[in-house]
Amino acid sequence: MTHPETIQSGDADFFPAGVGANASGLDVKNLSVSYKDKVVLRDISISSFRPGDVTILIGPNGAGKTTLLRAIAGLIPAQGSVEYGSNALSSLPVKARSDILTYLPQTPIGELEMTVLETLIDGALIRGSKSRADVEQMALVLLQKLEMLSFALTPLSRLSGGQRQMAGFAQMAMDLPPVLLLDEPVNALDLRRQEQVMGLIKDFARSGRTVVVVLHDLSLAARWADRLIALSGGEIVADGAPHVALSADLLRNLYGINADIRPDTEGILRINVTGLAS
Amino acid sequence: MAATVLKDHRTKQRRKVLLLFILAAFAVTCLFANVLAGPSSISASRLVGGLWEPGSLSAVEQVILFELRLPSACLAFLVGAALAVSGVEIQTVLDNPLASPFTLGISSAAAFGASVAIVAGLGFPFLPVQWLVPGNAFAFAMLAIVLLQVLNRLKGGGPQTLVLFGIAMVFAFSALLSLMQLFASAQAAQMIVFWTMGNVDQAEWIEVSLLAILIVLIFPWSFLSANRLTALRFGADRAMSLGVDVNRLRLLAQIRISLLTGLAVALTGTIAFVGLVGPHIARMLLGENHRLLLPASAITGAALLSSAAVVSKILIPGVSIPVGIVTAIVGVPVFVTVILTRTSK
Repeated sequence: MTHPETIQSGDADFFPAGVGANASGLDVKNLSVSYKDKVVLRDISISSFRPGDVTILIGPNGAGKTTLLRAIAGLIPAQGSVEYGSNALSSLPVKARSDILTYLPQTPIGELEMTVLETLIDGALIRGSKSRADVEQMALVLLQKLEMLSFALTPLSRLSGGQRQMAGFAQMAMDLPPVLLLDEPVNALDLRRQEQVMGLIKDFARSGRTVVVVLHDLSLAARWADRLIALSGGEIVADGAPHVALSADLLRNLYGINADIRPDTEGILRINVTGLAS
Repeated sequence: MAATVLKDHRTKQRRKVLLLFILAAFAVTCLFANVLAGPSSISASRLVGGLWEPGSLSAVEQVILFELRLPSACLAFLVGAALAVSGVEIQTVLDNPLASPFTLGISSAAAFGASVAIVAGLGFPFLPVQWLVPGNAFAFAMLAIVLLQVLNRLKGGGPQTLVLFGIAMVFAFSALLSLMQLFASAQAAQMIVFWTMGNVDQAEWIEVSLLAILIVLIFPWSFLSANRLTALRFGADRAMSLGVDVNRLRLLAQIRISLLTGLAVALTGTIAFVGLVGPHIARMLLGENHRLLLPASAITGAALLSSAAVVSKILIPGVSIPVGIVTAIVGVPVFVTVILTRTSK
């Protein structure tokens, strides 16, 4: 176990690539969700979320992004199927499913009478695969990496929303299954923390994991996505690498805005919103 | 810095365990104080001596100590523990800090059941007559919780729906209770009122034993679920991602709560606030990890009800106020203080 004092930032190897070469992809087939008679997701099929990719879901409010993540995670009843390797996820018991995927909701963890460090340690011990000493060391390494040591011993009840979002993210990162479903993990974070979290998410993918992230910030999405999927009205309207999927037309249709999209000198898409589309 | 953080963290954890033992010692002190307090003027030293050597007491004193004081003190201790553990479980399961064992209507149903036995003498056949009232109270408490589960299952609802149905249950059974009182004789009506006030004075060893057996069966079951309950505090979605079957956990917790609270209420009537305040105090002192919070709640609840029982005996000399009234009166300021200290940080 790496001693916390010696960890370097950007140390991608810290997260074991245990899922590596034989990792399966995630297949979504004909997924539909309706509440009463309102259809929220309409027959969504996504062939193969690939291990190693950061897939980012974008779309306007109410497009069905969160519903899609929660349906994949098996948290809400849905028609259709989600397959991981040879397993249909819906047929697995909760424990077995949690060994395959984890879901981080967009609402930060509550204002609990529990320190950030306890949140990480207790969360990992509940999964029960590691010893307390290992879990403690790992939590400290992670908190150091995320620059959270200064409030590691502060109860969640005394932290800001952004700090609690960091705590929830760090807890999720303590014990990573092969598939990560992250719902707006940076929406309450300042710019430096956004970078840290997105960088770590990229590291998770590089270690062979399948990562699906809902983001509202298109600039972040364009920079960090290997694959971008746009949802509107419960249907997929675009799917591909950012420079393929993102276009001024798409943004006009999705959000009703006018925007300039052009790659900068490093090939990263720059999005400049110029106003409301009439 | 990481090393210092870890050291401080471990010191904090050790302090919490120590605090738990101090709390336990305090609760036992309250238990003894409760044994010593009472209307008859036997000196404390004589009673303490009598605990070790019953022969040193007169026959009357022996009856007072072993047939009145001890069973009543033990019942208060156990009921306090049962209500507070039920309280912390229901607060976690419903994700609602204002929930108490009575939120789901268990006590109202029990009170109605008791009133049916008192007014109409209706109850289970073959049950000894002194068990008619508690037997009925327990049966109606169970009936209420089953009804609640059926309703909630029909709606397919989560904890919020459950709370609303629980409130509906409270109102329904309270109305039925009022109806019973309207038709009751003056004497029966008075008995109902006395029953609903909640008291531990007329405890018998058989009642104490029943509750003790149930606690021995259910507390370890609760404590084995401690980690899963802690996970639920991170939110139901996160708990599922940590491998916890949330629906199953919620159902099993409700079964535990119903049994414990149902029996506690059947034996003592409605004792408010212990199940609400006990968990809050325990949480303030020891945090949310249920491995500490569950035992801490049990201890806090036992200490609270024991000290309330002491107050009920010494507040007005010669009069023993039902302990349920004391907990309600003392509970309100304690609860307000808890809220104030929580928000002032």
